[in-house]
Amino acid sequence: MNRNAEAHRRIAKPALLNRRGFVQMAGMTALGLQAKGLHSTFGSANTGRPYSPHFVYVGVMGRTSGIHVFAAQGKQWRLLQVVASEAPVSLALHPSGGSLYVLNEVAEYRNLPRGSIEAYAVDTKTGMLTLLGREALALSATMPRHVAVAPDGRQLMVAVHGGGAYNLMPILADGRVGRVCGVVKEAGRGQVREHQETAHPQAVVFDSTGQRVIASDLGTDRLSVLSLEGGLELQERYTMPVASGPQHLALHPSGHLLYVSHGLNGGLSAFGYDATEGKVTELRMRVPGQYVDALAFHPVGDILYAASRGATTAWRVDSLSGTLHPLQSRSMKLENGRGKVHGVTLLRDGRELAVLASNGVLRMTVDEQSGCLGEPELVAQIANARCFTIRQCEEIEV
Amino acid sequence: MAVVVSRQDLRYESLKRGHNVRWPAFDEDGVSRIVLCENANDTAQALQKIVGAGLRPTVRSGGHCYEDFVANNPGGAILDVSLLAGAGKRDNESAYRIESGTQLWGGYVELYKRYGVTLPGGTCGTVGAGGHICGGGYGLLSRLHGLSCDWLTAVDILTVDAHGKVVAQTVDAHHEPALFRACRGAGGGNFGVITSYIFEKLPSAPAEVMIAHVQFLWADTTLERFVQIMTIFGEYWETRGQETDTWGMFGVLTVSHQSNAGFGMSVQFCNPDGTCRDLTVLNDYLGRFARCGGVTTTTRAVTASGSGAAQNTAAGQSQEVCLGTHTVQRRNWLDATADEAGGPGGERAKYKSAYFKRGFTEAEARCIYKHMHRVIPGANLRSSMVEIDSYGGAINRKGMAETTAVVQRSSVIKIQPMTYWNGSEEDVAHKQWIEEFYTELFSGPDADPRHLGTPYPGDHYQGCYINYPDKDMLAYPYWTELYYGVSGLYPFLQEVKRQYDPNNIFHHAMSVRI
Repeated sequence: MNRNAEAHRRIAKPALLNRRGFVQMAGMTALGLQAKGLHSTFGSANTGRPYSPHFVYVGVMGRTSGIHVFAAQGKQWRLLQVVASEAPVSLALHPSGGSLYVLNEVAEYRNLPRGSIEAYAVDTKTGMLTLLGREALALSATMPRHVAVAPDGRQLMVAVHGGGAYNLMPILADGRVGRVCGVVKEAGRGQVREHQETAHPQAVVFDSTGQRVIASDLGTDRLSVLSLEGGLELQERYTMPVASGPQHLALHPSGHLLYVSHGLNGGLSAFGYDATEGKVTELRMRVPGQYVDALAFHPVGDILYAASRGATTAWRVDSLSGTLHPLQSRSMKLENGRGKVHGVTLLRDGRELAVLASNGVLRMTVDEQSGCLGEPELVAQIANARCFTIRQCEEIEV
Repeated sequence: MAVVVSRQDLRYESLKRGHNVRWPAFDEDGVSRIVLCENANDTAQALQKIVGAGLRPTVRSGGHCYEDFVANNPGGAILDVSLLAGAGKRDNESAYRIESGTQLWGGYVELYKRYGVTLPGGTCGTVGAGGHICGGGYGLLSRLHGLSCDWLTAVDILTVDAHGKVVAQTVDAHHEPALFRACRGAGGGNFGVITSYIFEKLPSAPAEVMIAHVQFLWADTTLERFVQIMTIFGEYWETRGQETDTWGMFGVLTVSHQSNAGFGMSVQFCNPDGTCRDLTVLNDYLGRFARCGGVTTTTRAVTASGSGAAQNTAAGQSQEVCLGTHTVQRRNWLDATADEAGGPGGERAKYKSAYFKRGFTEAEARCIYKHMHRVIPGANLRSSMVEIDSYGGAINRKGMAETTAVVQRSSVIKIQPMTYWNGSEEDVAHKQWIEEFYTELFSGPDADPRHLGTPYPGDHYQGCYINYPDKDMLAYPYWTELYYGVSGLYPFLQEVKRQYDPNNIFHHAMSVRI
């Protein structure tokens, strides 16, 4: 079997549901996952069906740096645990849900210039965390920014903003992270003196093969495709316009459309992505406009949510052409308009959207038919929140 | 055309590491390939390819790096310039040129036979010029002629610019002078790949030298007598040894662990004019040790390892194998051949260093004695020692600290604790021995109370030598002051780093940090 045919075989194209089908399935799931004693007070305004219970992990920077664990259902968020952690900048759950990876945005670890990553065991019933270990990134991998876990759960990839590199690390059978097994060291710069003196990898996302990673580099205006087959290797480059500052990435559930926020000149771009070749193909659409701080697709793939400090915008996505059509813009209510947005995610059943702002978590309902957002509500007030991830659970003990 | 040795190549296991076989400590830490270059163009092309592929290059010449700076490079590439060797003058050029892969012994021979000149370089003949000169370069003729880097007038260097493009240039005091100064002692693996060292002048080789060895038996050496030996040694180099007529004399006192029968001192002497017509200085020096049990011989006191080592015995990556009733040894071919040739085999080793501006105090001498008598269960300390070298003389000439990147220009002694062993099962014990010895040595009554455990620059000490790097020092937030002093050299080097290696392509555990 040649390489392309092999890649074809591996690309498990998700059977995309339409919105109606997804909502029906989500409803079935939610009915089967009622929270003990809570469902009557956590019902959906739309349907009366209860919202799914989740555990939410929030990385908090600052003097009391750590991971805050919440039990969440609907508007009700309850703090379960606070675990000390140094400068958590990005979180990623293992596909099994059994472990959580916390990237430490540090310039030095154990006297060497490098960042680090922590592994925590997740108690699947209680959501509580137990530290498994902390592993060093490669030398010069300082101030890492983003971590993504491979779909097969065997490796994770780190984008290193400070040191300008990507690090590949194995995930061991017990959930701990092994020694760095691959490094791509970036070189290059852009024209924006303040932000592009050197390479600054920002984000990484696994493509649908699980054997490649698409990466954005704000410092060099480049998108890169890194191959994991036979060791970490740089496979392809795509150069974006000068001073774009590619930052956040969202890969359409089909695996064939890539959306990239422009960290330096604002707005978004849509690209084709050839998962067979591992190649960013052509620009499909450029949407100028406000700066985007986080991106997330609705699980159905028909709506892209772009969060920023001013507003969260819902874009309807043409899944063939990749073009975006504005659906709604929901104003955010950040503290005195000065807060920052660090993340956005759809809760698993697609009926709620959570935005992580620097002062905490804002929750919005998602209309099951239109995908439109409700009014944002601050459901968890957390100073200096920096990153979060959400794990659906079967039930929440109260 | 560069030779690329991949993980599948038979040569990989030999070439993935240097002489200190502790690294790579884990298989994942090893490089994906070793790229051997034969000329400067090869090297530039290979470097461009490595950088373009997103690989981290670590650079190797002789492979003598004490720490893991080269071999610990997960999935990266070792750019090996050891085949880029030779010392001489090019057509129509008056300057001497030493290619960076030249092993010191080969360089001495070529320079001597062709021109009668030499480099005041190191004693270990298989050390490569590449790392030796850019880290300072110090040896038996340094008191007479200064450090190797003091004679340097230009270097051919490959750097990687902000866009990731390899730039080949010759830098000297007038062209890119900051980078040139940084190449004169800041240490390798920091700014780029040096392919040639260029010297407008080099000192004439001495016509002849006198060699003496003084042996001391531990059985005859009480603590009091040991203190006396150390005091005599230290006082001499602090006082009389700094007078010009002694600059041709170099003494190295190797105090070996007491599991050896004794320890000894080797002396090389010539008059400042390179002759041995007047031996008064040597005679006076040797005479000082006669009253404390020193016996002068023509035979070097053999230590198990270090510069006084005889041929290494089946060291390094050897493995005993039972072959029926026979016990034989499986060895890496290159190590076995190096042993046969009298060259360095691979060993596990750990080193430290310190500069002394004065001789030894009694407390320091007692501390050395104590640790040379220490027993650590499970550890064979027979190859554990401290080499104590005379320093100063021409090295301390005014102005050199300002034009080179070696600030240690007021010291009279440099010490190098070291320990060697074979099996990884002894790693912990040997590291414990050397670390506790060193920490206690610099925690006595003469130590700076704010910098205990280190030879922090002050009235008594002057830090450490970057060519004897010691990662343990990273535990001290002021480690850069130990290696680069307190007068602004390190910030200068950081500026050079920002300018010439803005991507931090060249880095290791102790490289200059942006």
